[in-house]
Amino acid sequence: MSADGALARADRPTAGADGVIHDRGYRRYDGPRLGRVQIVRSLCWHSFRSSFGIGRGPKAKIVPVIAFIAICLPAVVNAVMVAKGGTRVVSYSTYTFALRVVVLTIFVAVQAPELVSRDLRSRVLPLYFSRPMRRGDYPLAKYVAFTMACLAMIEIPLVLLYLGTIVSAKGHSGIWSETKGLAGGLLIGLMWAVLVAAIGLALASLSGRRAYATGAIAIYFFLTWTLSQLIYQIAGGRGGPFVPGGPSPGQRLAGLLSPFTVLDGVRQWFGDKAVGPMSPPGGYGAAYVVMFLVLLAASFAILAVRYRKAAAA
Amino acid sequence: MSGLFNGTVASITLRATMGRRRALIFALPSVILILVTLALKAAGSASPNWPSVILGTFGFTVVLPLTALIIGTSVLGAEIDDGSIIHLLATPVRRSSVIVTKFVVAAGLTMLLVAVPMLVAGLIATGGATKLAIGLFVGALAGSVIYNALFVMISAVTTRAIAVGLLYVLFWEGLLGNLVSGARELSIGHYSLGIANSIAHDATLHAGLSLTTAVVMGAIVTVATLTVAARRLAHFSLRGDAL
Repeated sequence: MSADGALARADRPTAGADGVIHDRGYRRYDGPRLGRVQIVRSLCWHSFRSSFGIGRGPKAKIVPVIAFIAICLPAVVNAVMVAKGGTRVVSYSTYTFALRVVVLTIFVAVQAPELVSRDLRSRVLPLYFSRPMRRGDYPLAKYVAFTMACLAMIEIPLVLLYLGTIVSAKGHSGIWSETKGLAGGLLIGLMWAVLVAAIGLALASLSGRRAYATGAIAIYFFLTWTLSQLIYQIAGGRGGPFVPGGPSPGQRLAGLLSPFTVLDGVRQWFGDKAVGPMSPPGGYGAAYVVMFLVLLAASFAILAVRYRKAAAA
Repeated sequence: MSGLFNGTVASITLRATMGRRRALIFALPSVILILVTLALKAAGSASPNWPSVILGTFGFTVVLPLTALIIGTSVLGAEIDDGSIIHLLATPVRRSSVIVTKFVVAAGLTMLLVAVPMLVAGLIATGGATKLAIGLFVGALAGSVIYNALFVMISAVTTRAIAVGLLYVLFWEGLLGNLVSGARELSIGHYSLGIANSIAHDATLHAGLSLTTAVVMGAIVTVATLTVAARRLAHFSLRGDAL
């Protein structure tokens, strides 16, 4: 091969003054090649931007913008109430649970397929993998980007909530306790983003059609969330959650069905006292931690398997 | 009706929608509904009104709208998405007949995949052809029709039909419909519940609308959305997804 190449080059008429017509002035690239790290970094940045429809048309921004406004509303309402002399009405550790669940379900269901399904659909993965990047780099970059996007959706309202509260806070102790509350809330938010982004991308990577990927994620998140609440309600019997003797084992375990209530179970297992959508897991707290890890591991496994032979997909 | 229904379009739509492995996702929520019903029946639940809680709340706020959303947006949306709709529009079939045919197919599929399993789950849960089981079945039939009319319209109007539909189902029906009573008048879930409740008469269904309101509003919504969809398709121009 190389010998043929050398021969061909030797046979070719030398590009002297006569051969100008064929010399189009093409040049080799001699500058620095940024390599794998830079590829991952720019893929990550591009994916982060497309999670919010930045760099796409106005239609791509409708859902992320509506979702973001909706999740910020409680913080704004809180700021108004605090400014009028009330106390903080929204908890840092649970925020407004039902709203957060709905907003994240919509955001993840609509935006996760934007990150992965389009590439599958338009068969550009072989192009990505023809660069000096490893198999795992693509899902890693997508995952980091989408976790950051979910973090932005979860943490920015918390920061707004904090700012809206402290502008009216009196004294250092008030500000200090708010700051501690915020720090806890931010950590819980990180836990949420890590899990929700992983599940969303794993489900989205199963289908190249955005519509079906969105449907699968929405069904999984919303169905399990409603189901766990109903089982909780039914397992409570007539008395509801406040019967003497505390919640039944069925109630304490109902939350294992939905990733959102799993996250809340882990939060309560860590000792956070804020009232969640369900009663504290009590002695079953460890089960919630295990479920959290299982969901996370399963999502990573799906992503790893999905992109092992992605070029052939 | 026969002039508006085109058998060929219907069979093509049916094959395109159900012919692939991913069609399994349509049946998934209903399968889970039946499994949960069986599990609760076997567990001998403590709460006496669990059938109406599971079937009414779970069936009517999750299974019915989400299944209808995916089916309703894929009968027309999938063809717009991959561009094959131009082959259909190039034939001398009336645009309104395309819309009506696709709507009929979607509504029929939703009835088959949601209303029938709902009836089965109702029979299992209540142990026979009770008013609750029949009421929920009829409500689900009505819901299949109205939801699909809306989702077919959405997919004719926007290329991001499933995202917009999801916003409607989760925000409007999921949050507002249960918090703000005024939103009920414009909630398909509540039309279905109202119709179901007129037969079942069960307070735990939390039906907010009377039968008359539900039927009249449901009919108006169905006709209006299908008209808009047909008009929209008549002025249809194929555009790529704005990048």
